[in-house]
Amino acid sequence: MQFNLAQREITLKIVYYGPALSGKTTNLQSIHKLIKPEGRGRLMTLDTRDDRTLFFDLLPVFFETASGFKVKLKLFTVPGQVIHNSTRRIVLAGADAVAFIADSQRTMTKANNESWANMHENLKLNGLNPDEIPAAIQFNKRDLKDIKSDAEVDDVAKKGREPVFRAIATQGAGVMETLFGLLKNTWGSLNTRHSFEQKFRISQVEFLENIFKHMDLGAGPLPFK
Amino acid sequence: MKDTYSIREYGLAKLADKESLSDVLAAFGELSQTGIAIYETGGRLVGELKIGGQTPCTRLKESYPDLLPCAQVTSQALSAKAGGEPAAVTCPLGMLYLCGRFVFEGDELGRVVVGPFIPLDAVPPAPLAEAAFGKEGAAAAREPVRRLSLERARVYLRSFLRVLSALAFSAFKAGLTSQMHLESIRDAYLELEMANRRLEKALHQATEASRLKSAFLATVSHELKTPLTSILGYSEMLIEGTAGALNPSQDEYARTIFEKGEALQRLIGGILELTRLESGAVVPIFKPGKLDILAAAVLAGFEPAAAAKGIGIENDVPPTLSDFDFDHEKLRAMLCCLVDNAIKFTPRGGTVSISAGVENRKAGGELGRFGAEHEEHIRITVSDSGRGIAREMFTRIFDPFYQIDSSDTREHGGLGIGLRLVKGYVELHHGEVTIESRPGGGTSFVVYLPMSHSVAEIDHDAAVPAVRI
Repeated sequence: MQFNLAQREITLKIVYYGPALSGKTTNLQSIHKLIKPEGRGRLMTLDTRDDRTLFFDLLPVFFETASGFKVKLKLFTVPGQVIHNSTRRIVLAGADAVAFIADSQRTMTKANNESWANMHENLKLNGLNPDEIPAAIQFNKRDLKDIKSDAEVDDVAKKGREPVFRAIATQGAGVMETLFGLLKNTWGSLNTRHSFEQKFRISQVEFLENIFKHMDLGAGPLPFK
Repeated sequence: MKDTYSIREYGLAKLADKESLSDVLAAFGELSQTGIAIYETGGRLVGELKIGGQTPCTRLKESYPDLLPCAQVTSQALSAKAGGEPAAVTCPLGMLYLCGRFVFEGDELGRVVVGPFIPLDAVPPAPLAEAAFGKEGAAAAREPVRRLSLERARVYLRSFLRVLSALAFSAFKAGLTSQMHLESIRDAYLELEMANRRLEKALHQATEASRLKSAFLATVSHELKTPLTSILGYSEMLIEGTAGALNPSQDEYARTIFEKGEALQRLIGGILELTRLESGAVVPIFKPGKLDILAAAVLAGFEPAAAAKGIGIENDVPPTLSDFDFDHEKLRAMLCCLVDNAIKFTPRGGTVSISAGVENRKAGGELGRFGAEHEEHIRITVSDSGRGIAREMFTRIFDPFYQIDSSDTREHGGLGIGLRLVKGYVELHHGEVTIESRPGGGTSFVVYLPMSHSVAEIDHDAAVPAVRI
């Protein structure tokens, strides 16, 4: 988290991690589509080749609190291809939370495992504790064949502390739920570490409502409280 | 990478390429016939375009040198309260300026002022100008100024802000890309440097281990060789009767000591030779010679052993094969190792042969600027009709001390250094040794030696004919 007292501004960095072609960029594209322009900036895609991310995507989301603080969320993706590990490590620096986008296809289990291990390693190399950083897992591509069953996904959820979501990012399904679940945890973590509510007079409800008020939530209201 | 990137850190002045901005301003002026100015947050002028030559403001300033009407207007425009709609500010000449905030991702990065223009619907009063030039003079001074509806001016301003936003976004993106490039390169460089350091350390450890091994082998061999000389010498003296006549049992024991001592001496000799080869202490001496004569001499030496085992030996090296330069002693040792091995692993009734030919094949060493080079090689093949070797053994068979059958009850003795010596001798000739074999189908060791060597390597003065044993 970056805190700029002069500008009365708080910037949070959320990183979308996961194996190649799991749908990290598609998640950001969906969020970009679902948030009205007054609540977000342009989606920046840095350096691509054949529609594959080489550096990162960046989507800024921002709002101003009743107490006059500007809160900015910077949503980043990392390149999933194995060879771009340096870039992944660089992008992950200073992350406040991570959304791990797993590919639901059974054949991608190994790639998911490797990417998860790689994320842990890169978090450690950046001085971040993988056991403490707020994280959420999204099982994407639920519309494909030969995917992990719901029971198997539930088993994965039971194995860790991270909330697990199901999504079809190409249709926007589950994308906001993932971001919402992650941000809920992120606020909790920030409040514990930095007394967020006391220092900046931002409640969890205000934090979440401000981010999601500009969003077109077709699936119904999110549980802010 | 910094934790987050912010366009504010770049600032509008850095983001906007001056030349591109001038072009955009010029295009805007051409389209709107209205002046425009861009200010960074803090009031610094980033770019502006004035329409017309001597503006009424300049003339007014000539009459009222203490007044800075434009600065006043600018100051008013820039300090106008932030809000949704652009602020309209009137200057002392009765002209209008529209000021809009340039907001990027929620941050105000600067302001854009469009004007001067005179609104079509209501011309603002200009008491100061009228006092200076008279009513008609003031009207005449404002004559060249663009008449524009307030709504149209707002459209111009909004459109320009969008163009500026696109320009800033592109510049921000380019800035981030180059920053990422630099950081990726730096990170990759650091990673490579660390990997290099690890490799260097591993190489140093491996070199040191190899040196220690060589030193150990040399010492051990020397320590074995010294007492062995005495064992061989004294047992030979006993056999020859120097210490008096021996009874049959004593004679048999003494001969056994002598034979086993000789076998041990050959092994120690091999270990010493391997140590020398691995430490790079062996320098080949290339001299011209005929391979068929060398092969005949080598095979002749193995005739008794082959005959005892009922194995046929054949020299198929054509006498017409051209002379070439080789290290006679090393090539002979190499052939001896291969033939000895072949006889060892060939059952009774089998055949061992040496054949040769010339083959044009890819030269060793680094690939040249224009690809692989080809040169003539002598191909020497030592074949047997033994039980063959499984393909998975091919890569390990030249490792020192490697035995295909490493069991305690193996049929054939030896330390497993013969083939390592062969490889060493072949490499001394800048050649290559390969295996062709399949289980039950016999084995061929094929040695390729380049026919030509650099002049510096060849000892032409010492023209020795063929080696004779």
